[in-house]
Amino acid sequence: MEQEVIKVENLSFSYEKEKKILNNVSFSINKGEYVTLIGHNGSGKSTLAKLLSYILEPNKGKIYIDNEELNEKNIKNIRNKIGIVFQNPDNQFIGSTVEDDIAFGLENRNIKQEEMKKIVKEYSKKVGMENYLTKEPEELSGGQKQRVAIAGILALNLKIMIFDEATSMLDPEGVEEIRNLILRMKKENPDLTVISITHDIEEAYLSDRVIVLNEGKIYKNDIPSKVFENEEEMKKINLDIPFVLKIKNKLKTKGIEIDENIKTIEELAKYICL
Amino acid sequence: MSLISFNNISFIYNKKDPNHYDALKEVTFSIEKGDFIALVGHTGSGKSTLVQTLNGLLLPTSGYTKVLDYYVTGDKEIIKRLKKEKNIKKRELKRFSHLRKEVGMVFQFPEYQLFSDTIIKDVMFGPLNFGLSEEEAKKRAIEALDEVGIDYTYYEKSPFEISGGEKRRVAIAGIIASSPSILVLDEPTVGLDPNGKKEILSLIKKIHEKGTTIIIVTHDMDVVMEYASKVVVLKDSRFIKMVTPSELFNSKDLSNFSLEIPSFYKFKRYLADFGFNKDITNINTIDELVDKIGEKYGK
Repeated sequence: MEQEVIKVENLSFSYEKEKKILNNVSFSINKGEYVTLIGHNGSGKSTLAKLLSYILEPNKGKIYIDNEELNEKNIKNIRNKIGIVFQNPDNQFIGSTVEDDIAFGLENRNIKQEEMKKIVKEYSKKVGMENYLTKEPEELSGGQKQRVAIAGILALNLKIMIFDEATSMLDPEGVEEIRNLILRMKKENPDLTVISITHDIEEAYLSDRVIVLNEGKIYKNDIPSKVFENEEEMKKINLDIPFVLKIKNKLKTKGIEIDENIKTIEELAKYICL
Repeated sequence: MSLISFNNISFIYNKKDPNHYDALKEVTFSIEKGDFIALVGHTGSGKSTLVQTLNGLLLPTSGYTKVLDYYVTGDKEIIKRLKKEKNIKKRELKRFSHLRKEVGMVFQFPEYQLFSDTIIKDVMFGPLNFGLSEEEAKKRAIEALDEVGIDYTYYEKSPFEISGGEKRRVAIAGIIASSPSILVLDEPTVGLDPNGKKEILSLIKKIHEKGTTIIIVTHDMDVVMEYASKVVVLKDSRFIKMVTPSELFNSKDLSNFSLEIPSFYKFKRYLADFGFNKDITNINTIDELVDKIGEKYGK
């Protein structure tokens, strides 16, 4: 049976007297799922990110993480299950070097120096930063800093990773780095649950499931090909659709059907030519 | 005569340091009035250094940047020559306050530079600084805020209580309030969602249509494709070429400059690589391309 690791129940949030930013939102996420959460400016997605990471508390409704309610009493325990990669790569780099930064979370865990070195090495390799261990943050690009943050979280072996608009301050190269890294991570560890709050629709297209928020409510919650099926509908709520799907839709009107599993530009070109 | 010309300029940071590094090497090209220039190149290619010579924030170590009637240079030989041939006084060569009014600079994450307690005061700062009266500065600020789509209900709000996209628009208003004839923007869309991005870009387009010359430093090739009239490519501190966006994206050497290719051109390239049997070299829109694919399927 599918195991629920995150459950959001009738969640509402508003700052004093103001209109509701989140209005009775419910959804759940299963173990091992990679879910992207999208929505335009003001849709409530950043507020939802803050609630999930317990920076804000809901006015109404509940969040359960791994069957524990997210509240003051449980937060310490829950933090051992959940890792968050934030938007600004500079604000989360704590160590003075890449090595220190990846080790930071491990230092509280009573791990021998020797063992720690090994772990740091292993996880820096997973994110492709093994040749930068002694570098200082000033010498790294935004994408590289985010990769270091991800390594630090992976090293802790947590069950759930939340990406809170982790690519929105990066250049296109950095966005693609992180996009690919998440996919690779998921492949290596199918039990890892990933929730990415993002405005990168190309990323959403590659995830298992997309939740679309609009004006504080869930607008869609489905597999990517269903969510992005109707271009006009998405445009109405100020969202675009992925490039590959745009081409597929236009070909469809000409009566040309493309395999549903084709998701990248390269695959699409190959499919058409072969 | 060109509005802006870079004349064989080089720039060396920490010239005295034996490990000094040439951020610009012998760059020469010019920009015409009314151009919409996108300046592209890999991180560290010299883009930001180049634009900072436009208003004298940085002085070329050799060569000179000419903007309107101003010469920007730190090259002693050239200074000597200018004094002799054009009778320009040395102190005039260092007086950049008027130039800074003509060349508006919007740096990366300009919202971090907001500082006043109200939005209107923040936008008035530039005009006041350039010597306008309080009344005139306020008039200019209101016009600029109007231009960026921030209405009067915001004037007395703190710049810290508005959204990210709004903050950036307020920061741009602060620059255009001084009515510059040249507007330089360093990565104006980084960190904004697609909607915020569109807002900023259509704003820049509107400013361009009113006659302002635009120079935009960007990594975003979709911006280049959709908005720029010309693209300037820098690589390893050198000027490589100035071309139209479609010339750039159709050229074979694009990957040499570490530029992200827009999805459309990436797709075209893959089609060619996998041996697509129709000629698509001169196709520049999605619909035309889809028609060609349709032909292949006999539709």
